Amino acid sequence: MQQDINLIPTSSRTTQEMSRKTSGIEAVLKILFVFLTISLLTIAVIYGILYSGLSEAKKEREKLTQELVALKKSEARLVVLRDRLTKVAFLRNKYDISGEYAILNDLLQNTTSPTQLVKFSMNPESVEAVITTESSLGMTKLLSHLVGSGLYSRVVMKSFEYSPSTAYRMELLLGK
Amino acid sequence: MKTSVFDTRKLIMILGGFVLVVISFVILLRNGVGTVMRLYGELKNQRQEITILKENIQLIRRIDLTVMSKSDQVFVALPDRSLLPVVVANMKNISAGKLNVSTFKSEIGQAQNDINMASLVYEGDASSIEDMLGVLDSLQGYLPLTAVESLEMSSGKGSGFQVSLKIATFWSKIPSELPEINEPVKDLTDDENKLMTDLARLKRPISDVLNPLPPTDRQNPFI
Repeated sequence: MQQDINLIPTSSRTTQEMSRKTSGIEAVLKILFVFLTISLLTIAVIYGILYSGLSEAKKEREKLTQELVALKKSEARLVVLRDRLTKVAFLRNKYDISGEYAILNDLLQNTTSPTQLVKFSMNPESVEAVITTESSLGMTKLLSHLVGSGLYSRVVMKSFEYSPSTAYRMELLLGK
Repeated sequence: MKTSVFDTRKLIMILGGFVLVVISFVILLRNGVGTVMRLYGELKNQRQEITILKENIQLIRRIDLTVMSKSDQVFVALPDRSLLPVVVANMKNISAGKLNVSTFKSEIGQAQNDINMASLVYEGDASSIEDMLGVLDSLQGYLPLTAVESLEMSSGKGSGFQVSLKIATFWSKIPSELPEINEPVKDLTDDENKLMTDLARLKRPISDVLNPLPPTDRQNPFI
């Protein structure tokens, strides 16, 4: 029967335990190498795809930019238009006298003889009116209209006078 | 005593291989993944920009066709220079026969930082309040934008009223800078569209005809 001959001196021989450990590390290293190679390949493929996509995207962007540059005149017009509209909206809001205009019209309709609207001042915030009448009934009717109509947010009687020469005279501050 | 020359060498090789693998991983992570992530980010940005550019182009084309036809009125409503003479002409024509002007003056001011204004102060007399309210109503139906700053009326000695009217007209410089090409262009809002339609209804300024003063038949000096 053939017998294995080992000529390495016993002192230089690997122990079984050491051999098992080195084989284990070797196996782990192999796995890591494979993993590294796969990772490298994956990254290379992803890089290629992204690079090609980016080149396409850059070309398309350039084309669209050129197209948009050709439409710059229209865009400029739109920008100016929006600027004008914003400012016009601000001005119309600031100088809106539609409420005051309605107040004056309402006052005119409700100051019938002998009640008279003799003086008024109007600005975008309020209306001040001076009303005279010979009859207290006319004054009462007007005041009850102002208070009861629900049209006015503010009715301030700034002064109320009576004299035989001017009869009843009242100064009102009205807001809508 | 040394245990094994062979195993030490193998162990060093294995350790060297391990160090190499670790270094490769570090390089792969730092450069490879970093580069891929950068490319991905760049691609994402490019795609976002492309989307914005496409939307801008579509919007501008659509606006160009539908909205721009109405925009002329808006530019007259708030011009880039003073249209004071036009407002004076409008006022003159509208108030003819309703307001007898005794004094007239103008003042320059500012409605806001970038909005200039010129106020016109008319003083005179009118026969009735209704007439003056009619004047204001008509005036606001004309271009350019004319605001009523104040109106004061008081009954005079006769049957008429003394009038002090302050109106204003505005102008503002056109923006000198356009937004960046890749900034999204916003469509006009409903309020802006409504305002534009309102302004489109306003009448164009009244052209004032200056008739020659008599005698209208002039001699030709070259005959």
